[in-house]
Amino acid sequence: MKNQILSFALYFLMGCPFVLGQVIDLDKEPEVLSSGTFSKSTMYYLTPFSSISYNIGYSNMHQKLNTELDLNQRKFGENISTGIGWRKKQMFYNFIIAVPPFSSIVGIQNGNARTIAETKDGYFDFTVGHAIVSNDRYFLILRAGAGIQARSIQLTQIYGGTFDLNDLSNPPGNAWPQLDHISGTWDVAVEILPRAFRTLSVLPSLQMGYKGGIGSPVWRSSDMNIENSLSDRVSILYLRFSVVISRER
Amino acid sequence: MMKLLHIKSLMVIYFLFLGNETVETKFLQEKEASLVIYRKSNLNFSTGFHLYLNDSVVIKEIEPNTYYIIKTRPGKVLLKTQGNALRNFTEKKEYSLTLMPGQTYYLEAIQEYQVLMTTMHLVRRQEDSFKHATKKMKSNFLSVKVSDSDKKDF
Repeated sequence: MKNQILSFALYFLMGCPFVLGQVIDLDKEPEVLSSGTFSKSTMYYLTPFSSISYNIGYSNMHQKLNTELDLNQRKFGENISTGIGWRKKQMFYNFIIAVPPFSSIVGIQNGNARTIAETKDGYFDFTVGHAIVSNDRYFLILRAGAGIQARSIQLTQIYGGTFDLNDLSNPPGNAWPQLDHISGTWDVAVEILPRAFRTLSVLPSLQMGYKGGIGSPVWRSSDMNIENSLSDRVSILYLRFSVVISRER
Repeated sequence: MMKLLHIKSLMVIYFLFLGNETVETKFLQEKEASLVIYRKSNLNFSTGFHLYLNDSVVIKEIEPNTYYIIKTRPGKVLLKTQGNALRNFTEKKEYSLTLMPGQTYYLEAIQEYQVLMTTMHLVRRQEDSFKHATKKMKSNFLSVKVSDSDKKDF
Protein backbone atom coordinates (compact mmCIF):
# COMPACT_ATOMS: atom_id res chain seq x y z
CA MET A 1 0.00 0.00 0.00
CA LYS A 2 2.82 2.33 0.98
CA ASN A 3 4.60 1.53 -2.26
CA GLN A 4 1.51 2.24 -4.28
CA ILE A 5 1.10 5.66 -2.69
CA LEU A 6 4.78 6.37 -3.20
CA SER A 7 4.70 5.36 -6.84
CA PHE A 8 1.56 7.39 -7.37
CA ALA A 9 3.20 10.42 -5.78
CA LEU A 10 6.29 9.91 -7.92
CA TYR A 11 4.19 9.48 -11.05
CA PHE A 12 2.17 12.56 -10.14
CA LEU A 13 5.24 14.67 -9.51
CA MET A 14 6.99 13.46 -12.65
CA GLY A 15 3.91 13.66 -14.81
CA CYS A 16 2.88 17.16 -13.83
CA PRO A 17 5.72 19.18 -15.36
CA PHE A 18 5.45 17.12 -18.51
CA VAL A 19 1.76 17.89 -18.90
CA LEU A 20 2.17 21.54 -18.00
CA GLY A 21 5.19 22.05 -20.19
CA GLN A 22 3.76 20.28 -23.19
CA VAL A 23 5.19 21.55 -26.46
CA ILE A 24 2.61 21.97 -29.20
CA ASP A 25 3.86 20.89 -32.59
CA LEU A 26 2.89 23.57 -35.12
CA ASP A 27 4.05 21.35 -38.00
CA LYS A 28 1.20 18.96 -37.33
CA GLU A 29 -1.49 21.16 -35.83
CA PRO A 30 -4.32 21.87 -38.25
CA GLU A 31 -5.69 25.39 -38.65
CA VAL A 32 -8.55 25.61 -36.16
CA LEU A 33 -9.91 28.56 -34.29
CA SER A 34 -11.41 27.20 -31.12
CA SER A 35 -13.36 30.34 -30.16
CA GLY A 36 -15.59 30.24 -33.24
CA THR A 37 -16.88 26.74 -32.62
CA PHE A 38 -19.23 27.62 -29.76
CA SER A 39 -22.65 29.01 -30.56
CA LYS A 40 -24.43 28.72 -27.21
CA SER A 41 -23.42 29.52 -23.70
CA THR A 42 -24.87 29.52 -20.22
CA MET A 43 -23.27 32.21 -18.11
CA TYR A 44 -23.20 32.79 -14.38
CA TYR A 45 -22.44 36.37 -13.42
CA LEU A 46 -20.75 37.16 -10.13
CA THR A 47 -19.22 40.38 -8.89
CA PRO A 48 -16.23 39.90 -6.62
CA PHE A 49 -15.91 43.67 -6.32
CA SER A 50 -18.70 46.13 -5.84
CA SER A 51 -20.06 47.75 -8.92
CA ILE A 52 -20.18 51.51 -8.75
CA SER A 53 -23.31 53.52 -9.37
CA TYR A 54 -23.81 57.26 -9.56
CA ASN A 55 -27.22 58.54 -8.56
CA ILE A 56 -28.61 61.50 -10.42
CA GLY A 57 -32.21 60.81 -9.42
CA TYR A 58 -34.11 60.96 -6.10
CA SER A 59 -33.62 64.71 -6.25
CA ASN A 60 -36.77 65.68 -4.30
CA MET A 61 -35.94 63.49 -1.33
CA HIS A 62 -32.29 64.54 -1.46
CA GLN A 63 -33.33 68.16 -1.38
CA LYS A 64 -35.78 67.63 1.50
CA LEU A 65 -33.22 65.79 3.65
CA ASN A 66 -30.64 68.41 2.83
CA THR A 67 -32.74 71.48 3.64
CA GLU A 68 -34.63 70.16 6.67
CA LEU A 69 -32.10 67.91 8.37
CA ASP A 70 -28.86 69.05 6.71
CA LEU A 71 -28.17 65.47 5.57
CA ASN A 72 -26.30 65.32 2.28
CA GLN A 73 -27.01 61.99 0.63
CA ARG A 74 -24.09 60.32 -1.12
CA LYS A 75 -24.31 60.24 -4.90
CA PHE A 76 -21.97 57.28 -5.31
CA GLY A 77 -23.27 53.91 -4.30
CA GLU A 78 -22.11 50.35 -4.53
CA ASN A 79 -23.75 47.03 -5.26
CA ILE A 80 -22.77 43.43 -5.44
CA SER A 81 -24.72 41.52 -8.02
CA THR A 82 -25.27 38.02 -9.21
CA GLY A 83 -27.07 36.77 -12.25
CA ILE A 84 -27.55 34.24 -14.96
CA GLY A 85 -27.36 34.69 -18.69
CA TRP A 86 -27.75 32.77 -21.90
CA ARG A 87 -26.25 33.35 -25.30
CA LYS A 88 -27.47 32.05 -28.61
CA LYS A 89 -25.04 33.11 -31.33
CA GLN A 90 -25.12 36.91 -31.03
CA MET A 91 -28.12 37.31 -28.74
CA PHE A 92 -27.72 37.61 -24.98
CA TYR A 93 -30.42 37.26 -22.31
CA ASN A 94 -29.63 38.16 -18.71
CA PHE A 95 -31.23 38.28 -15.29
CA ILE A 96 -29.30 40.29 -12.71
CA ILE A 97 -30.09 40.88 -9.06
CA ALA A 98 -28.08 43.36 -7.03
CA VAL A 99 -27.94 44.00 -3.31
CA PRO A 100 -25.91 46.53 -1.34
CA PRO A 101 -22.86 45.11 0.47
CA PHE A 102 -23.13 47.84 3.09
CA SER A 103 -25.78 50.43 3.72
CA SER A 104 -24.69 53.96 2.99
CA ILE A 105 -24.77 55.94 6.23
CA VAL A 106 -24.65 59.70 6.50
CA GLY A 107 -24.90 61.43 9.84
CA ILE A 108 -24.80 64.88 11.30
CA GLN A 109 -24.13 66.00 14.86
CA ASN A 110 -26.44 68.75 15.96
CA GLY A 111 -25.73 69.77 19.55
CA ASN A 112 -26.46 66.76 21.70
CA ALA A 113 -28.35 64.94 18.97
CA ARG A 114 -26.93 62.90 16.11
CA THR A 115 -29.17 62.37 13.08
CA ILE A 116 -28.46 59.41 10.82
CA ALA A 117 -29.83 58.46 7.41
CA GLU A 118 -29.18 54.85 6.43
CA THR A 119 -29.78 54.20 2.73
CA LYS A 120 -30.01 50.84 0.98
CA ASP A 121 -30.28 50.28 -2.76
CA GLY A 122 -31.14 47.16 -4.66
CA TYR A 123 -32.32 46.24 -8.12
CA PHE A 124 -33.44 43.44 -10.33
CA ASP A 125 -33.44 43.53 -14.10
CA PHE A 126 -33.82 41.52 -17.26
CA THR A 127 -31.87 42.61 -20.30
CA VAL A 128 -31.69 41.47 -23.90
CA GLY A 129 -28.43 42.13 -25.68
CA HIS A 130 -27.18 41.97 -29.21
CA ALA A 131 -23.50 41.81 -30.10
CA ILE A 132 -22.86 44.85 -32.31
CA VAL A 133 -19.25 43.75 -32.65
CA SER A 134 -18.72 40.01 -32.75
CA ASN A 135 -15.38 38.64 -33.85
CA ASP A 136 -13.10 35.77 -32.92
CA ARG A 137 -11.69 37.79 -30.02
CA TYR A 138 -14.52 39.60 -28.22
CA PHE A 139 -18.13 40.69 -28.13
CA LEU A 140 -19.27 44.27 -27.79
CA ILE A 141 -22.85 43.92 -26.59
CA LEU A 142 -25.56 46.56 -26.66
CA ARG A 143 -28.16 45.77 -24.01
CA ALA A 144 -31.66 47.02 -23.33
CA GLY A 145 -34.00 45.89 -20.62
CA ALA A 146 -36.42 46.55 -17.82
CA GLY A 147 -36.39 46.00 -14.09
CA ILE A 148 -37.14 47.24 -10.62
CA GLN A 149 -35.06 49.61 -8.52
CA ALA A 150 -35.70 49.91 -4.79
CA ARG A 151 -34.33 52.30 -2.20
CA SER A 152 -35.07 52.51 1.47
CA ILE A 153 -34.06 55.27 3.87
CA GLN A 154 -34.13 54.83 7.62
CA LEU A 155 -33.84 58.02 9.62
CA THR A 156 -32.91 57.93 13.28
CA GLN A 157 -31.88 60.47 15.86
CA ILE A 158 -29.97 59.57 18.98
CA TYR A 159 -29.00 61.69 21.98
CA GLY A 160 -25.59 61.58 23.58
CA GLY A 161 -24.96 60.74 27.21
CA THR A 162 -25.45 57.48 29.05
CA PHE A 163 -27.89 54.68 28.42
CA ASP A 164 -28.86 52.04 30.92
CA LEU A 165 -29.22 48.62 29.31
CA ASN A 166 -31.71 47.63 32.00
CA ASP A 167 -33.91 50.41 30.72
CA LEU A 168 -34.42 49.07 27.16
CA SER A 169 -38.03 50.23 26.94
CA ASN A 170 -36.96 53.89 27.14
CA PRO A 171 -34.99 54.57 23.93
CA PRO A 172 -32.81 57.70 23.98
CA GLY A 173 -33.80 59.04 20.59
CA ASN A 174 -36.32 59.25 17.79
CA ALA A 175 -37.01 57.16 14.74
CA TRP A 176 -38.95 58.03 11.64
CA PRO A 177 -40.89 55.45 9.65
CA GLN A 178 -38.75 53.70 7.06
CA LEU A 179 -39.18 55.36 3.69
CA ASP A 180 -39.36 53.10 0.65
CA HIS A 181 -39.22 53.98 -2.99
CA ILE A 182 -39.88 51.26 -5.53
CA SER A 183 -39.80 52.13 -9.19
CA GLY A 184 -39.89 50.35 -12.51
CA THR A 185 -36.80 51.05 -14.63
CA TRP A 186 -35.62 50.83 -18.18
CA ASP A 187 -31.99 50.07 -18.84
CA VAL A 188 -29.44 50.58 -21.60
CA ALA A 189 -25.91 49.27 -21.33
CA VAL A 190 -22.76 48.43 -23.22
CA GLU A 191 -20.84 45.33 -22.27
CA ILE A 192 -17.44 44.05 -23.32
CA LEU A 193 -17.00 40.30 -23.05
CA PRO A 194 -14.04 38.32 -24.39
CA ARG A 195 -14.62 35.15 -26.40
CA ALA A 196 -14.39 31.81 -24.66
CA PHE A 197 -11.82 29.35 -25.98
CA ARG A 198 -12.65 26.46 -23.68
CA THR A 199 -15.87 24.62 -22.87
CA LEU A 200 -15.69 26.04 -19.35
CA SER A 201 -14.26 29.54 -19.24
CA VAL A 202 -14.03 32.20 -16.58
CA LEU A 203 -14.32 35.50 -18.38
CA PRO A 204 -14.00 39.08 -17.22
CA SER A 205 -16.89 41.33 -18.23
CA LEU A 206 -17.13 45.09 -18.08
CA GLN A 207 -20.52 46.74 -18.32
CA MET A 208 -21.44 50.39 -18.37
CA GLY A 209 -25.04 51.48 -18.35
CA TYR A 210 -27.83 53.83 -17.46
CA LYS A 211 -31.05 53.13 -15.57
CA GLY A 212 -33.97 55.49 -15.94
CA GLY A 213 -37.19 55.36 -13.95
CA ILE A 214 -40.54 54.57 -15.49
CA GLY A 215 -42.75 57.34 -14.13
CA SER A 216 -42.03 58.98 -10.77
CA PRO A 217 -43.53 56.98 -7.88
CA VAL A 218 -44.10 58.44 -4.44
CA TRP A 219 -42.21 57.53 -1.29
CA ARG A 220 -44.17 55.09 0.87
CA SER A 221 -43.67 53.28 4.11
CA SER A 222 -44.66 49.86 5.31
CA ASP A 223 -44.77 51.18 8.88
CA MET A 224 -47.16 54.07 8.46
CA ASN A 225 -49.31 55.85 5.95
CA ILE A 226 -47.32 58.82 4.64
CA GLU A 227 -49.13 62.08 4.02
CA ASN A 228 -47.83 64.83 1.70
CA SER A 229 -45.43 62.33 0.18
CA LEU A 230 -42.88 63.23 -2.48
CA SER A 231 -42.48 61.66 -5.87
CA ASP A 232 -39.04 60.91 -7.28
CA ARG A 233 -37.57 59.66 -10.51
CA VAL A 234 -34.78 57.10 -10.70
CA SER A 235 -31.72 58.02 -12.74
CA ILE A 236 -28.55 56.00 -12.25
CA LEU A 237 -25.28 55.57 -14.14
CA TYR A 238 -23.44 52.37 -13.33
CA LEU A 239 -20.19 50.55 -13.99
CA ARG A 240 -20.06 46.84 -13.28
CA PHE A 241 -17.13 44.45 -13.42
CA SER A 242 -18.26 40.84 -13.31
CA VAL A 243 -16.65 37.45 -13.37
CA VAL A 244 -18.57 35.30 -15.84
CA ILE A 245 -18.38 31.55 -15.46
CA SER A 246 -19.41 30.44 -18.90
CA ARG A 247 -20.33 26.95 -20.06
CA GLU A 248 -19.90 26.83 -23.84
CA ARG A 249 -21.64 24.51 -26.27
CA MET B 1 55.85 17.02 -33.60
CA MET B 2 55.12 20.08 -31.42
CA LYS B 3 54.93 22.32 -34.50
CA LEU B 4 52.42 19.98 -36.09
CA LEU B 5 50.27 20.12 -32.96
CA HIS B 6 50.40 23.91 -33.00
CA ILE B 7 49.26 24.06 -36.59
CA LYS B 8 46.52 21.55 -35.89
CA SER B 9 45.23 23.51 -32.91
CA LEU B 10 45.35 26.76 -34.91
CA MET B 11 43.32 25.10 -37.65
CA VAL B 12 40.79 23.86 -35.09
CA ILE B 13 40.46 27.39 -33.66
CA TYR B 14 40.04 28.82 -37.15
CA PHE B 15 37.28 26.38 -38.06
CA LEU B 16 35.57 26.67 -34.73
CA PHE B 17 35.37 30.44 -34.53
CA LEU B 18 36.41 32.34 -37.62
CA GLY B 19 35.67 29.86 -40.35
CA ASN B 20 32.38 28.78 -38.92
CA GLU B 21 31.17 32.35 -38.60
CA THR B 22 31.87 33.32 -42.18
CA VAL B 23 30.15 30.17 -43.39
CA GLU B 24 27.24 30.88 -41.10
CA THR B 25 26.70 34.50 -42.14
CA LYS B 26 26.89 33.50 -45.80
CA PHE B 27 24.37 30.76 -45.13
CA LEU B 28 22.07 33.17 -43.30
CA GLN B 29 22.08 35.70 -46.09
CA GLU B 30 21.22 33.13 -48.67
CA LYS B 31 18.79 30.74 -47.11
CA GLU B 32 17.18 32.14 -44.01
CA ALA B 33 13.57 31.42 -43.16
CA SER B 34 10.95 34.05 -42.35
CA LEU B 35 8.60 33.84 -39.44
CA VAL B 36 5.68 36.25 -39.53
CA ILE B 37 3.75 36.76 -36.29
CA TYR B 38 0.64 38.91 -36.29
CA ARG B 39 -1.97 39.89 -33.76
CA LYS B 40 -5.32 41.39 -34.65
CA SER B 41 -6.68 44.41 -32.80
CA ASN B 42 -8.09 43.47 -29.42
CA LEU B 43 -9.16 44.70 -26.04
CA ASN B 44 -6.00 45.41 -24.17
CA PHE B 45 -6.65 45.12 -20.47
CA SER B 46 -3.95 42.66 -19.66
CA THR B 47 -0.22 42.40 -19.28
CA GLY B 48 1.97 42.14 -22.33
CA PHE B 49 3.39 38.88 -23.57
CA HIS B 50 7.00 38.08 -24.40
CA LEU B 51 7.80 35.91 -27.39
CA TYR B 52 10.79 33.65 -26.91
CA LEU B 53 12.60 32.03 -29.81
CA ASN B 54 14.93 29.25 -28.66
CA ASP B 55 14.82 30.59 -25.10
CA SER B 56 15.74 34.19 -25.91
CA VAL B 57 13.28 37.08 -26.04
CA VAL B 58 12.70 38.27 -29.60
CA ILE B 59 9.52 40.30 -29.05
CA LYS B 60 9.20 42.11 -25.74
CA GLU B 61 5.49 42.68 -26.13
CA ILE B 62 3.24 41.15 -28.74
CA GLU B 63 1.03 44.16 -29.35
CA PRO B 64 -2.41 44.15 -30.94
CA ASN B 65 -2.87 45.43 -34.48
CA THR B 66 0.75 44.66 -35.30
CA TYR B 67 2.77 42.17 -37.27
CA TYR B 68 6.38 41.17 -36.83
CA ILE B 69 8.76 39.63 -39.32
CA ILE B 70 11.55 37.50 -37.89
CA LYS B 71 14.30 36.20 -40.15
CA THR B 72 16.13 33.28 -38.71
CA ARG B 73 18.19 30.20 -39.41
CA PRO B 74 16.22 27.26 -40.76
CA GLY B 75 15.71 24.21 -38.63
CA LYS B 76 13.56 23.25 -35.70
CA VAL B 77 12.77 26.23 -33.46
CA LEU B 78 11.13 26.41 -30.06
CA LEU B 79 8.67 29.26 -29.58
CA LYS B 80 7.33 30.28 -26.20
CA THR B 81 4.81 32.90 -25.09
CA GLN B 82 4.87 34.06 -21.51
CA GLY B 83 3.37 36.91 -19.51
CA ASN B 84 5.46 40.00 -19.16
CA ALA B 85 4.63 41.35 -15.72
CA LEU B 86 2.03 39.40 -13.75
CA ARG B 87 3.37 35.96 -14.50
CA ASN B 88 1.16 34.16 -12.01
CA PHE B 89 -1.90 35.33 -13.89
CA THR B 90 -0.67 34.15 -17.27
CA GLU B 91 -0.15 30.78 -18.87
CA LYS B 92 3.12 29.73 -20.48
CA LYS B 93 2.73 28.15 -23.90
CA GLU B 94 5.42 26.31 -25.87
CA TYR B 95 5.43 25.50 -29.54
CA SER B 96 7.83 23.81 -31.92
CA LEU B 97 8.08 24.56 -35.62
CA THR B 98 10.39 23.28 -38.35
CA LEU B 99 11.58 26.06 -40.64
CA MET B 100 12.70 25.27 -44.18
CA PRO B 101 15.22 27.59 -45.88
CA GLY B 102 13.68 30.38 -47.95
CA GLN B 103 10.15 29.67 -46.68
CA THR B 104 7.78 32.02 -44.86
CA TYR B 105 5.65 30.85 -41.94
CA TYR B 106 2.60 32.71 -40.70
CA LEU B 107 1.52 32.53 -37.07
CA GLU B 108 -1.39 34.34 -35.50
CA ALA B 109 -1.05 35.31 -31.85
CA ILE B 110 -4.44 35.05 -30.17
CA GLN B 111 -4.92 36.30 -26.65
CA GLU B 112 -7.37 34.39 -24.51
CA TYR B 113 -8.71 36.40 -21.60
CA GLN B 114 -9.68 34.46 -18.52
CA VAL B 115 -9.97 35.78 -14.99
CA LEU B 116 -6.59 35.20 -13.28
CA MET B 117 -5.25 33.35 -16.33
CA THR B 118 -4.48 34.95 -19.67
CA THR B 119 -2.93 32.98 -22.49
CA MET B 120 -1.26 33.94 -25.75
CA HIS B 121 -1.85 31.17 -28.26
CA LEU B 122 0.07 30.78 -31.50
CA VAL B 123 -1.91 29.34 -34.38
CA ARG B 124 -0.49 28.39 -37.78
CA ARG B 125 -2.11 30.36 -40.61
CA GLN B 126 -1.95 30.45 -44.39
CA GLU B 127 -0.70 33.46 -46.34
CA ASP B 128 -4.24 34.37 -47.43
CA SER B 129 -5.53 34.74 -43.88
CA PHE B 130 -2.46 36.79 -42.95
CA LYS B 131 -3.03 39.14 -45.89
CA HIS B 132 -6.71 39.43 -45.06
CA ALA B 133 -6.00 40.15 -41.39
CA THR B 134 -3.28 42.70 -42.06
CA LYS B 135 -5.26 44.64 -44.68
CA LYS B 136 -6.44 47.24 -42.19
CA MET B 137 -3.45 46.85 -39.92
CA LYS B 138 -1.08 49.72 -39.45
CA SER B 139 2.27 48.89 -40.92
CA ASN B 140 3.73 48.30 -37.50
CA PHE B 141 6.21 45.73 -38.57
CA LEU B 142 9.56 45.00 -37.13
CA SER B 143 12.29 43.02 -38.76
CA VAL B 144 14.82 41.08 -36.79
CA LYS B 145 17.57 38.67 -37.66
CA VAL B 146 18.19 35.92 -35.20
CA SER B 147 21.07 33.52 -35.38
CA ASP B 148 22.62 31.36 -32.70
CA SER B 149 25.68 33.58 -32.45
CA ASP B 150 23.81 36.88 -32.52
CA LYS B 151 20.60 37.08 -30.49
CA LYS B 152 19.04 40.50 -30.55
CA ASP B 153 16.33 41.87 -28.34
CA PHE B 154 13.94 44.51 -29.59
